[in-house]
Amino acid sequence: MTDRAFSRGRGGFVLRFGAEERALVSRLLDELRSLLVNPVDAAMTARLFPVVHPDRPDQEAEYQRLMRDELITSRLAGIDTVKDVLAGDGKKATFTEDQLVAFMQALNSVRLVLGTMLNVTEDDEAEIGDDAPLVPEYQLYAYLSWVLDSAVHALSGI
Amino acid sequence: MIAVTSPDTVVLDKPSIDESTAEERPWVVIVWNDPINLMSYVTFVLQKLFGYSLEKATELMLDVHQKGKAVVASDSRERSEMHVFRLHEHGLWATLEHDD
Repeated sequence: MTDRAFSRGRGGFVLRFGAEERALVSRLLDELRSLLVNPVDAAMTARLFPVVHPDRPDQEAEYQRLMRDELITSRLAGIDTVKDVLAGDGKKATFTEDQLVAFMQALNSVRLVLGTMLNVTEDDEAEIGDDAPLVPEYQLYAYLSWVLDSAVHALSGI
Repeated sequence: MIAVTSPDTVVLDKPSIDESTAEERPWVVIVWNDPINLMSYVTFVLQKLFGYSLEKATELMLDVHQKGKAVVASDSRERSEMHVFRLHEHGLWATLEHDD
């Protein structure tokens, strides 16, 4: 995985994914949408909705009352944007800068849910062996991290 | 006759220095370390949202990573809540603090 998932072209940022990888990301975004619309397990989505005023319950309640739905709406709009690009014609998906930012936000939301499920720590990368439980999930997590890092590099021009 | 105001109707302004300065004191936006967000991504988000140079954003990211948290902005309550919202849109773990 030394190569980059994105390259910067004249028409925007080109995702060098085949149909299968695009379908995988699209499926993950569908699952993220379900979690946002119908949160079955608050612990799983806790990282998507951080507490803003940890020491002030009144202000926290007020903030969440005003902003939580807006955050969900923003995330759902981002998912729609990315899915449209992924479903587009042609062999490669090409993103504008704004669309790529939406992609990064959506992909990172999936990582936040997955990382919470796996209870990842800073040292996990070094410690996960092939015989560890949930290896496919860790591999998926690592794969998404690589894609996200690639998007950061593409947008930063490095 | 000259009306004399009785002493108990005289309202003196109470010293309100503490209240006014608390109101004016900026709210601080804090980003906390977490094991999920990538260092490259956090640096990118800080540059994008606050217009920091790569050097400044990297310095703040390293503070988050090594010290556990960093103040990334200080502003009015309204603007600070907007900063927090945008950090949350990107998936960073951000909170607000304010001294009363």
